[in-house]
Amino acid sequence: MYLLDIRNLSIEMTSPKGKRVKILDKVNLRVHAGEIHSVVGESGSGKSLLAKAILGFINPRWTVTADRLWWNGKDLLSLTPKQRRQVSGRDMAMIFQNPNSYLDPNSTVGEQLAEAIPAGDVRGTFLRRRVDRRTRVKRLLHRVGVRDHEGIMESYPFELSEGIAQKVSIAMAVAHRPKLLIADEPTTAMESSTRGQIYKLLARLSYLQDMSVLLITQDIGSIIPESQHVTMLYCGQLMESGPKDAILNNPRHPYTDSMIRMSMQRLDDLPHKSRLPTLPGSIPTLEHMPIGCRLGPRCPKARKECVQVPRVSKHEQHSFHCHFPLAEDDS
Amino acid sequence: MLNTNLYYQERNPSPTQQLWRHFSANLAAMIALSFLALGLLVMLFSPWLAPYDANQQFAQALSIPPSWTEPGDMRFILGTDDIGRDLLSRIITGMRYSLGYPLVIVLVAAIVGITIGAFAGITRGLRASALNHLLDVLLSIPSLLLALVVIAILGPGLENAVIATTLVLIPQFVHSVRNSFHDEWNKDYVIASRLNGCPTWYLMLRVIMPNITPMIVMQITSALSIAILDIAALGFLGLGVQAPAPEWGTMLARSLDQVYLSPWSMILPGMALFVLVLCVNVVGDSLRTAIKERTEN
Amino acid sequence: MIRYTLRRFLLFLFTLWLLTIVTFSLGFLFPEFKHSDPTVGSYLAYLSAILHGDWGVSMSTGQDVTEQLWIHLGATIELSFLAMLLSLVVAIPLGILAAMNQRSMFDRWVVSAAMTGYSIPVFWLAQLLILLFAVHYDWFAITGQITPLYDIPTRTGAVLVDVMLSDSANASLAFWDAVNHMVLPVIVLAMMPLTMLIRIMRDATLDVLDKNYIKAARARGLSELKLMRRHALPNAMQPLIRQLGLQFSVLMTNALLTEVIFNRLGIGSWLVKSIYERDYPVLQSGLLVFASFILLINLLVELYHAWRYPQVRQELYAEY
Repeated sequence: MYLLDIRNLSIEMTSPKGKRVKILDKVNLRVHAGEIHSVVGESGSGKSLLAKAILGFINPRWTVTADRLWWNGKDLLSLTPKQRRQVSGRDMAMIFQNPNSYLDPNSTVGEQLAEAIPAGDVRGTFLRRRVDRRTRVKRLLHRVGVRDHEGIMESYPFELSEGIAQKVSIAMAVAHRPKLLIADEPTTAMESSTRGQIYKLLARLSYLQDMSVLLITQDIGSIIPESQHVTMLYCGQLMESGPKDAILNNPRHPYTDSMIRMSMQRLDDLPHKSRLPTLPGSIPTLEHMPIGCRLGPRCPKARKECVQVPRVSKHEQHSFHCHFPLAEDDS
Repeated sequence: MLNTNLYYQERNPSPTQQLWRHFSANLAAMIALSFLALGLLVMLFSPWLAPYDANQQFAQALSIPPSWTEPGDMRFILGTDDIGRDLLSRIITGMRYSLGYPLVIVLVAAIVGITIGAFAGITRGLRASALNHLLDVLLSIPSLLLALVVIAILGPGLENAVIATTLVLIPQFVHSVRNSFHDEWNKDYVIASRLNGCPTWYLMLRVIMPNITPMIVMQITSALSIAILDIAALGFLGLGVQAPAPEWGTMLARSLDQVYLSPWSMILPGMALFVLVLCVNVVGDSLRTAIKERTEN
Repeated sequence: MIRYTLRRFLLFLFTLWLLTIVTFSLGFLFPEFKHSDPTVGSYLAYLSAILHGDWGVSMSTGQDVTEQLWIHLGATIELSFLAMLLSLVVAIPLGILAAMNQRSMFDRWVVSAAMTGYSIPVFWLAQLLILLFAVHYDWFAITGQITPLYDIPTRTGAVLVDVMLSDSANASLAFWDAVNHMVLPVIVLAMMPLTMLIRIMRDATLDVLDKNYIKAARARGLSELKLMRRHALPNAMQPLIRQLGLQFSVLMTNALLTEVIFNRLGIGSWLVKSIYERDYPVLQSGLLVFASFILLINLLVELYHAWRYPQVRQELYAEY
């Protein structure tokens, strides 16, 4: 059974000029317990929105429809908002791109971590509870790889470096042992050594606590090496999804292919004055979404049929939405 | 019908147009703005609009209530005061003192303050720091108190009240313009222009100025509301505009003794002052909201 | 924090010193009032006289200024603190409630009432209230601090304190009489900061509720009450506290007018009277004390702000 099972999730909003736009168009996503799943998409692909939809934090004026939005075999859409919040508060957690803005600037890290520890975990009588809470906070900080717990606990968020702040917010996120951790571009704008640390930490936590991680990134080149599955999104549509090795070594969708070429290409290997291997054109605005396959106007393989939304093709676990997929051993 | 617009083109409105769009969508703001425009017109044409001379006394018509009450008189629509002067004429004529002078004051203070503020905003080091502290001190002292000090030196009177209020408003302009210049100066677009080698005057007038104009307009409205209130307050205390002149604050001070006998002579000028200040504040506040909405979108 | 306090305190002393120069030179700007030549020597003499508490003698009443000063200051402090307290107590909950029910009828009502209240000229509001509550209903007294019949000796100037200090037989009656005299001035005085603080509090709360850390705390399943108390409220209070000094200055301006209208003892009415009477020793020292009082309040507010919100200190250091 899947931990998270989403089928045909669509989110529709009214654009500022009164047009109905689907910002997510029939997206499928499946996450096993304990696996690391990467979602890759450029800006405007709706990847953060997907995360918010899973947590249940969607602007109430937008309409969310799905054939299936199951969490642990339970239908999330049938729950009341309050129950929904309970479920996501208990079983899920999220970390973000700029961790500092997710920490209260006016209380110390120690206080905020203490608050994140579930009351049920703390043992002892009234006075003992304080001590116990403190040791739990220390342990939590050690678990996310912060050694100087005394200094960090007394600090205010503005005194932390980005990497430490992200570790602290991971600590807060895993304090109540969630089953799923959604990481929304947690390492964008970080130095690469810090990024490596955070990725290792996420992988270790996932392994040790049997926690699934849904990692959202912009760039297929920077997905976490430990991830088992990769899902590609473009403009709110699902392009391709499957095991990491299959996606990286044998992409079937032109979009994935170009993304991989782009990120794996070393720019100084290009001949002088040759074109960059990018897709032509730019990401369409919300107002001007193409019909059918939204990649259509930019796709090198597009033909007349592409004005229809392609059906899903499946090959074992590897699925892709394209009328004219790349051959199986193309790359 | 023939559609001449062959090509669909998305036109994004300019920042000023956007600002106006947000502003004009606010009904209260538009009402306040049109009231202000009306007030301005009334002020400009006050000699023709006022039915009588402001200081003409009707000996047979002392303390007549407004015309819509039982003992009212249609000749005096808003009634008369205790020495028989027509209130409507006094309020209309008084607009010159209560709106006209503040407008002039704010204009002068704005020109002087913005110039000083702009240059202060781009200076660095000890001079800037000294100016900053001096301004902080000046700003922490209430404007009316400062005006009182100036008047204590110069002596009571209309001219001195005007000078005092102008002097008092200048630091506020200097402060806010200095701060916004300071903030803009370190933004990337200004740095880019600086690296491009734009001369300082060009940076100030053509690069930074357009970006802080809404802020300056907002500052002007708030200064206008302060100027109106301060002129009226000085008149009320008997330190500004002197007695026979139909300034609204002075009229209120006079009515302090008359409150028991002719409450309308207190309520009406006060109401005029209140509506005027309210309009200015609503316009300023809506402008602030509009700027905020624009930057958020 | 110690470094910050010291720096701020030095700045305060420097400002006070500037102020003494201003008030000293004021003496030479007045045409009729020339006690000596404007030399360094005479300034030092003036400074040491001030420091020794010798502030001169009033030209109109012949009383010792120093003694009068404390009485008037006491009265003003009492009035302004009560008004500030009233406006804080009313404004904070109203602002928060309005923000939590944004765009509801209640919110709209509060916002427009605040806008209206903010635009009412203080002296007109005072007259309206006098007309309604004193003339029409005869509920409250409108002149002075207390009915002279009670014969309460003035010690501190703060009338409520004076009543409590006195050994009058009718102390409790006198107390309520003093309160009765105080209701209208306090309401009038509180109006301006009240409306400003409502707006500040509402905007700040809206701002904070939109912050990521609030959303994150909510996502973690923190209860709404805890969320408000632990995170939203302390952070929303920050802009309010930062503005408190400025609001106090506004309140003091209005105190000047209110004291004149309600014929109360106080530094404001004392100052205005001295301007009428060209009583320069009073004007000089009244100005000095009035301004220093406002500066002192500003200093205290700033110190508290920096102490309570540590990241402010960092910004301040970074600036220099």
